[in-house]
Amino acid sequence: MMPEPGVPALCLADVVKRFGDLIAVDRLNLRLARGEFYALLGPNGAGKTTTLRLISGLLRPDAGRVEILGVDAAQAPERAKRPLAFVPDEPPLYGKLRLIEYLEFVAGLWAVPADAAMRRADELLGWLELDAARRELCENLSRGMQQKLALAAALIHDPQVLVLDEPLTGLDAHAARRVKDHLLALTRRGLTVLFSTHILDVAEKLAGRIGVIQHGRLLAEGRLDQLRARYGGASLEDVFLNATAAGS
Amino acid sequence: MRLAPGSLVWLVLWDLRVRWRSLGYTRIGLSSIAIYAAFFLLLHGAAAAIILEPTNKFHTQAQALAVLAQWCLWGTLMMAMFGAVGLVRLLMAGPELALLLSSPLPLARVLWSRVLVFMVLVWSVNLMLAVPAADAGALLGHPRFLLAYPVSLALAALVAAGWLALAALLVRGLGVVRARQALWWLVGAMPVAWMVLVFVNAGAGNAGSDGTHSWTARAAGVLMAWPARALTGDAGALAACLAVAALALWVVQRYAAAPFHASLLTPDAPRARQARSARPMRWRSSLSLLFLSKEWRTILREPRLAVALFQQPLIALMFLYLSLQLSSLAAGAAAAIAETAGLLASYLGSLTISAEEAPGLLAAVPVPRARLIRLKCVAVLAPVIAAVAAAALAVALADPWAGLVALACGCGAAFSATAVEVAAPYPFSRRSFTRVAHGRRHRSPLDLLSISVMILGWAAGAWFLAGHHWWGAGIVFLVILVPFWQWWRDINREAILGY
Repeated sequence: MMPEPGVPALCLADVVKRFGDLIAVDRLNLRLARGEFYALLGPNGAGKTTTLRLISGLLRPDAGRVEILGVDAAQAPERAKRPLAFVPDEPPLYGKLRLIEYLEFVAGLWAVPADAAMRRADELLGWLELDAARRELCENLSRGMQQKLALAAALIHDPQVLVLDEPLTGLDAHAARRVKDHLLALTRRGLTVLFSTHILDVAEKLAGRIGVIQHGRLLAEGRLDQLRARYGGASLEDVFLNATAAGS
Repeated sequence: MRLAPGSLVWLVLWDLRVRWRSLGYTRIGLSSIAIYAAFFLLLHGAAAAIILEPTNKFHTQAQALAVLAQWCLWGTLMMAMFGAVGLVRLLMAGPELALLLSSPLPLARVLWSRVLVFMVLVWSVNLMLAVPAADAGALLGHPRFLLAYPVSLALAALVAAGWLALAALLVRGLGVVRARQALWWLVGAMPVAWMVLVFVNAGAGNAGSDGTHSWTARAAGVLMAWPARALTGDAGALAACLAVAALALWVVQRYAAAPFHASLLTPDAPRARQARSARPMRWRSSLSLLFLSKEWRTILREPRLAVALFQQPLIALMFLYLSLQLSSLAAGAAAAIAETAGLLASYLGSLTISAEEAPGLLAAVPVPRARLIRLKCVAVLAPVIAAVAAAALAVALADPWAGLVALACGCGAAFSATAVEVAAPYPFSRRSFTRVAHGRRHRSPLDLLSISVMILGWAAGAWFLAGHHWWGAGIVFLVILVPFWQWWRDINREAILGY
């Protein structure tokens, strides 16, 4: 699906999500261009994961609109989800499926033709160094390998928008570097990445733009230099602490 | 009275509290107690009715005791089943005991606390079997029936000792990891073995002079001789039962301690990584096939789930057994088929629909939720309906009408049980599900009871309809309403978009 020129890859307009009396996401507005690498930061309980779950379709917003490549997720959820991939913080695996069976299943969910899925699976498994474990049950993989498998599954249908919740959890330094490099390469080819993380160093190095949310509201947004200019501080850590302190 | 922290009783009470909470109750509310008390009273009424109804000759204690002995026999079987499940979980599941092992408590005390909890869990099965019959007998003027309490306690101890001995032997012979797997498969095979026994005996099931069937009389004679004598008030037999049970428990505990310790210190090791990457695999892209194979692989490859699946028909055997006493075999078979279908569909539905392992994945796929739910329903219903059809055909060969009733009520029970899961899913983690076997459902006691009553209602409807009692149709009409009621009560409707 090719979006019309000028259509953002991802757009959240005045999105609200409540859990009882708690407002988890409060009139949140986000707009990501194609090929953008966007980091969503915030303290614990700020609403990052809820935001990502709203985008992925796991939660329904109480108000507002979520659009993926110009398609309203409430009006046409299946069409909106087709170009999207979501990797939650806990890898969504089936413990008793073999690694290759899991990829086959996920490819089937996105209706990837068998031949293309096989080729893609081979590429991804090679790149993520999971080839030797392809017939292993998912539950027998280490946490880092499970995270890599979840990433491979997210990429098997060649998504245009990738939503990642703490994507580097459990990865060793070597694997984390490979994943970061690969994601940057993919964004240069047009993939849009939205990720949440607590590792500010990663956000600082990877993200083109950074958003800071607190109490479900977007406190600050922009490039690192813009945020520095606004909130002061030499590093993203300083910016983050200053912004969240001001928000409190 | 304040118990000393770390004492044996303190440990047992903590463990039982955790077991209670694993059923979904964070505290013992009045409503839960009231509902379970009502259910317990209902069981007593049913026990009294069953004891009195069929022969109407409960005047002699010997005959009444024969009936109670049969209940106890069932209780023993159930205890054996639950005992094995509890044993694997309590003694063989190393990670659960990490905290206790890392504490300065003596190992012997930890072992005894687990064994006592195990015995309590095993004995609690009798709350639903021998105890209601014993209480009913006592209320009907035969207080000696209350001896069923110590007798069943002795049986629980013997069952505990038996499984401990077996576990110890398996651990010594096979190692801890394989012993765990072997125990699961043994537990899974027991209902099948019992089913074979029932049918073999049903074939030669001529009623004995005392109104019991020959096979039960023989089995009771072999297995229950001393307990049966104890039930008649024979103090020597009662003392012998308790002494043998205590001795068995002590001996096994004494000699099972070493393998038990070994099992605690040996975690479930993953198998060696298989280097078979060169082996080609045929990829499929049909969503329906992928979905069905996913659902079944994830259940059958998990021993705990597979064993629990094979255990579901166990309770239905009760209908077959009772049918030998109370009604025709065909009517009992129809009821058993409906009950089994309902239980299987309920179990599979809760696993596939409520306990979806990766809802985050399915939520993000470009497939309508309704289609995903339909596929899950097919995964649940296809094998159940196929089994119902085969069993109903076997019944129809003997009694066509009963076969038709079995087919209709079996399908009805399966559809209703699946509909409840669709109408009111209560999401929970399959990992916690497997850890605590099939008891963990975060439904209220009323929900749980309504589902049980619905499945029992289908079985009762089948029983009466197969016997040409048309008011069985009224029961069926009532139970059909349960899924709608569940849908109306569903508190998660707005909160979960899910998959």
